[in-house]
Amino acid sequence: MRSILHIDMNAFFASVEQRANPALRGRAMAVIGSENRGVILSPSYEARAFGVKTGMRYGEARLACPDIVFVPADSAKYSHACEQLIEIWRSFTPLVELFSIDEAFLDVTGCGALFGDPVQIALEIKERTWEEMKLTCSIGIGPNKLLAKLGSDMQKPDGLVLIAPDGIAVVLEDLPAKEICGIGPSLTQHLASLGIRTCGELGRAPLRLLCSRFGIIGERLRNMGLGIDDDPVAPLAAQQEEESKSMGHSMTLDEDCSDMPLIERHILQLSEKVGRRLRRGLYSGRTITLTLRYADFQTFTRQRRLRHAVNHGLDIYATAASILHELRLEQPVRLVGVSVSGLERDVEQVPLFVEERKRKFLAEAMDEINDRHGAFTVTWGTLAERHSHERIISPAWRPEGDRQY
Amino acid sequence: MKLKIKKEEILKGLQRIQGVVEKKNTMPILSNMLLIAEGSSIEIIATDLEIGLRGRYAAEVEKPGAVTVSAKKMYEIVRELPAEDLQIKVEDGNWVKIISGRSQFKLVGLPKDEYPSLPDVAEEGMIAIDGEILRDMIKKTLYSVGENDARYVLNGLFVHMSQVKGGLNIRMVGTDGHRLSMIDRVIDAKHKEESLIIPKKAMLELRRILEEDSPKGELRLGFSKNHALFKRDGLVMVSKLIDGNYPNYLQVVPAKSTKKVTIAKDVFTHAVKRVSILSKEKTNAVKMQLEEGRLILSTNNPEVGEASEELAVDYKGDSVAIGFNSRYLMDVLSAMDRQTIALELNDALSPCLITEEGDEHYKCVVMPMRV
Repeated sequence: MRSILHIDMNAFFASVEQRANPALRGRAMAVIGSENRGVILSPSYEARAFGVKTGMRYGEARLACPDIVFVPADSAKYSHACEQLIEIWRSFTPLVELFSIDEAFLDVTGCGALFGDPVQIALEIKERTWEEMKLTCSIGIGPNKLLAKLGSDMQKPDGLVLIAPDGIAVVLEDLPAKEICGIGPSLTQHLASLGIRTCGELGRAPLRLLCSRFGIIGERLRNMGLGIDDDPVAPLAAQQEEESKSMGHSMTLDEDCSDMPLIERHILQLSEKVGRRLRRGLYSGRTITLTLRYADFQTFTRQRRLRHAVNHGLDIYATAASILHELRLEQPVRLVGVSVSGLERDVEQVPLFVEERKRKFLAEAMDEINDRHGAFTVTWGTLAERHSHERIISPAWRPEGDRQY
Repeated sequence: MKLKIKKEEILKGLQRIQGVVEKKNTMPILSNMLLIAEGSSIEIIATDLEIGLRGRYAAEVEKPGAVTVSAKKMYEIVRELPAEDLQIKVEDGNWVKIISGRSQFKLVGLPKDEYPSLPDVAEEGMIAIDGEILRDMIKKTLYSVGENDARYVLNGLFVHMSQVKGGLNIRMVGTDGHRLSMIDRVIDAKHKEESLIIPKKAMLELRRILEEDSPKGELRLGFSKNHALFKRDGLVMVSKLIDGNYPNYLQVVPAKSTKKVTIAKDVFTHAVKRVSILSKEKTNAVKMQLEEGRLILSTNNPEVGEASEELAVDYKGDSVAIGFNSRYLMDVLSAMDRQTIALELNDALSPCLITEEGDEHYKCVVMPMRV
């Protein structure tokens, strides 16, 4: 029997901001994407009391809570806090899987002799998190990741829930299936059409029915309903070993935009970021995808396959921009995304022609400077004025490895 | 149309065109060949609109005529025929009938007018060249020509002709952006100074023709603005040229090197082969370390293991360590014929020059990898 902890930081971005600025403490506030627009990334518990939720638009949030204070996201602060948290968690077990910037799984199986039982460990983590960082978290303890995550969701903020093996059936019986991590809205609908609403019902559903409807994930679904999950806690190092399939970035623009040169500039900035991440992971890729979201949230993607794998920002940009030029924009654009897939390991072959060699070496020199002094310290003139634009931290952010940029 | 022909004779013709006919079904007629019977011979013509091949083969023609028919099916049928002779008849509705011994085949044909005609290239001023010399030049350069490269000029072999003392200098250059090969040969001929780029596929076909049993003998080359023409007894090949500017290849051929070492080709080839067994699959990286008196080849693949081999060489100078794609090295080595080769190096990020001792007119350049 394993002992897994799921730690979910409470209103992480908001709490970090409140900790940094005393004037924000005790107030209804929320961390937002950018000054003028975007969505609520993290409301404080004071704001949540008014019904402000993550993902709301500003107008909606203000409607729910007129006195709310908006604070633009400061990714450096959150990643730094996350690194400190990881340090605390790693002092208990090396098996720490960062699930997102404010969530992690810890496998504390066999840590009993050193730190006591899982509940003692969870209490200790909560105490240290408060003492050292003035942050609170909810911790769920269970025999696997699925149940641990369920536990941390059950009591917020500052919760601690243990789901013991003999309590699993009771917890799951009437729990709506959509509460399980991995069962999203569309899956919920499909399940409902089969008359399955709760985890209890899912666990009792005939395997044949699930497999004929959902294919190979049928068995996994039923296991979810039964609270069975063999997925190991993959520590950070192992997570990075996993080969990435694609790399991409997207950003919500400060305001809806129909200005082609401006959209191109955003694409260049995103292409540069993607290129840098590819080079860092020694990757290059052949398929370039451009994602656009219109003002009415209609979202679509177009991709192009190249004959040669690329990892240079300008090559990615050239392709993404040529896709853009073939489109007829029907509405102002709200969000732009660029990604590269069909990844191959860049073989580190030095090009023969002098021009190409120069370009490769230039990119490497720029990477080196930007690694030391921060992203976009050295960049194309076109992007210079955009440097001040704070990026929104990606949920896939990792403190180490190729997801860092 | 009605004729009798020896299986061996027509098979030679059918074999030659298999590489030319279109395999992708973009234009169905291009998977056909054109057969023309006239006088005491037949002509077999095939084209993919880039390259055209026309050959003449001896036959007993009873009734002249022409038809087009699937090149692949015709080849497969003739190859399997039991007797030494066969008869070809075209019946109403363009049915092509093949009779040999007790076997009979009827193939769907199309009227000859639907077949695209080969471009006309004027035959004046053609250059005569020894088939063997040409074959050798192609062999030594074609391996490095690009394949499906977005820089489309790299998908062809660059040919430059210039008048020098003693005759006409023909230079061929191939590169795929990672390696390059360049050969110069002087032949007894006259031609104006000219540069052109010939598609890789045409050169592959030409090489195949030159590798047939009787490579000896003369071949004549001719060029028009858009086409190259190759002619040999009863055989004509036309190819479109690639239009564009070839990159400045001379710039990347190192003129001076700080480190030079000569080595027996066989010894080096086998060492590279052995060591590269354990190179990383995708990169084929081999590390080459040159020190005083020795050259060490090594590979390291964390998933499989590591290998190293030390070769004694006559070298006195600074040490250097450079990585290479072993496949690129092997390509160069198999294009070379002499017993001793020379490696010229500068540093880990500069091009490496490989030459055969005694032939300063053949140069191979390989760009390093980072290891």
